[in-house]
Amino acid sequence: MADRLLTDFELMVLLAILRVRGDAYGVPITHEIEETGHRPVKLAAVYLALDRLCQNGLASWQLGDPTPERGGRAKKLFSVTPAGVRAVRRTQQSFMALWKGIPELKGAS
Amino acid sequence: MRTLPFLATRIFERLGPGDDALFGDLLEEYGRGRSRAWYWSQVLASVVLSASRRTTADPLRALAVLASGWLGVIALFFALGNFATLAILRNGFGWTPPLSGGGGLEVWWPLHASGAAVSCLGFALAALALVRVDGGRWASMLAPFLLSLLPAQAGIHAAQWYLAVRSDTLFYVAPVGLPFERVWAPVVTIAIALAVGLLGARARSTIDRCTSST
Repeated sequence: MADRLLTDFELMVLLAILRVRGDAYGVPITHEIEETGHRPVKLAAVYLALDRLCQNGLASWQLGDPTPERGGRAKKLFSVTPAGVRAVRRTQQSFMALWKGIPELKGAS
Repeated sequence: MRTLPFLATRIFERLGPGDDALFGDLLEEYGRGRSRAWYWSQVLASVVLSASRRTTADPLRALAVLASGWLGVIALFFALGNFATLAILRNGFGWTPPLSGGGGLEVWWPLHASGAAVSCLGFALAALALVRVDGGRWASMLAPFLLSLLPAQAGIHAAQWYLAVRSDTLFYVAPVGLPFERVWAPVVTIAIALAVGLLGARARSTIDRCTSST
């Protein structure tokens, strides 16, 4: 995987996994993005991003236990790999570098 | 547990990404009180995103799948379509050739009915073939494929009228274009093809693409 920067949605998904921590499967990841990002998110879009992140070695998953409320289907519990953490840091640094020195963005949040 | 919307669930199972974990998430959220509209929107998004993912991951293969559907339609309509339409008209309605310029026939209802029937059959068979390609992995391309047929039908209908005015070639493309004579007909033919595709597609289990860390 080349050292490319993450897209905004990939970054949000990785940060959501890191925030949710132990029980990071589709539903809480989606809720986390919706609550912190103030935008509606489709579960399929989250899975699509997770799929891409897994393929690029930035996230990984393991199967959880099946539960009755899920119709006996197991959860996919996601975690961020060390390469994923490095990608988040690299993207953050790039954004911060772009952020600096812009008068319009100083002060008000 | 609340009863799931039947049609949406069948669509997800047959045209969706084939991911059990995603389906489990949908069940969990729906069971917590999400609306039917929410469920439908999630299912439709899954189908669209699944088609989009497959297309971007392997554009040549996606193009080949669409092309095979198109080839099926072309083969059916051009090789068998005229023959079938004419056979229906001859045997069912006592029509006898020759046909000259399509004069008068454009308002003869059996012509439209037989053209629509052949269109339905052709689209349905093409849809069936497409959802079975590669063990059903490309079934999510069914909707884009059927939608791509609508402008094609309209174009062929326009070409058909141009040819009918210029020469005696009305029947060359009649079964494809004729349903467009009635506003509802293309929608009905596409809907029937969609239904046949849904019935013909296999429900798929999880197709895992990531590597588990376990």
